[in-house]
Amino acid sequence: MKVEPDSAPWPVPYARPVTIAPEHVRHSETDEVEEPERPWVTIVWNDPVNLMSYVTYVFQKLFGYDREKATKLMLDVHHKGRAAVTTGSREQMEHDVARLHAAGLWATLQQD
Amino acid sequence: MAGIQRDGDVIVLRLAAEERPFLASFAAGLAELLEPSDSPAETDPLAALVGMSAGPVDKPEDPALRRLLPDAYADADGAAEFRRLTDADLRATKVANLRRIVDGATAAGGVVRIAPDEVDGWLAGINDIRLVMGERLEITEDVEHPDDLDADDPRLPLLWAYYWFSELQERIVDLLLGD
Repeated sequence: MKVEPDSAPWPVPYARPVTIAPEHVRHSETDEVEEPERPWVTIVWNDPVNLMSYVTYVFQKLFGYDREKATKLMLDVHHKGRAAVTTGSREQMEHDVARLHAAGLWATLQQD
Repeated sequence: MAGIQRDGDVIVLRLAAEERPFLASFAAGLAELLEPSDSPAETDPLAALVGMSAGPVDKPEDPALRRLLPDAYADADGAAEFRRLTDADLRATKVANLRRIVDGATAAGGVVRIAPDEVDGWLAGINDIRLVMGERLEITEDVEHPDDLDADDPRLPLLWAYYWFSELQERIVDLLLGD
């Protein structure tokens, strides 16, 4: 159904998303109504027990990061106390947190 | 210390006679600690099928269990809902890892061949054992070496065990990372 802005029974900006597929709305630069949802991030927190080599291994294995990136994230956790390891939808981050908990890492998720 | 080698993709663990009951008892003890007190299957079979708990799941009182089953959200409501949805699965995964370690440690001959699809479970199980020991010992970044403790220090046996598990984990990870 094509909704003409003039005939829309609601404020004009809200007419736009009705006729546009959601994936286009999200990336539309002219769309001032629907801001893209702020992404969620998975945070890994430092703890004194987990071995640095194991944390690096887990980042490589769970997220497919190369050694360099996994090591950098591990060092961020170690020195800064925390690091954002993945970004995405809330569902994806909940999945990542669950996998990190299964591996024994201390992880939380939050909106960026 | 156990012999640890790579044979292709397989990690081969050769446990000394005294190491086998040692490894098995720590793994079995933690599996028991992690078993949920009342199975969701007793209350809601449908929820149990999808690994959910029928009602709210309390945050563990034991700090060691809180470390193994941590809050996923900073806010209490989000953390409680996530726990309700995932607690049973997470416990089951951890218990399965530990049971596999018990089976390996008690297998005849003391030689354990850990296949590629099993090794992450082994590492996670060993790590969970270390996390619990770390809580009991109140380990900090400046962890003492057992050699630096007095001979009658009550922490000594557990601190030795902690180091043994740390070395086991480190050596397996080093082999996997190719160091």
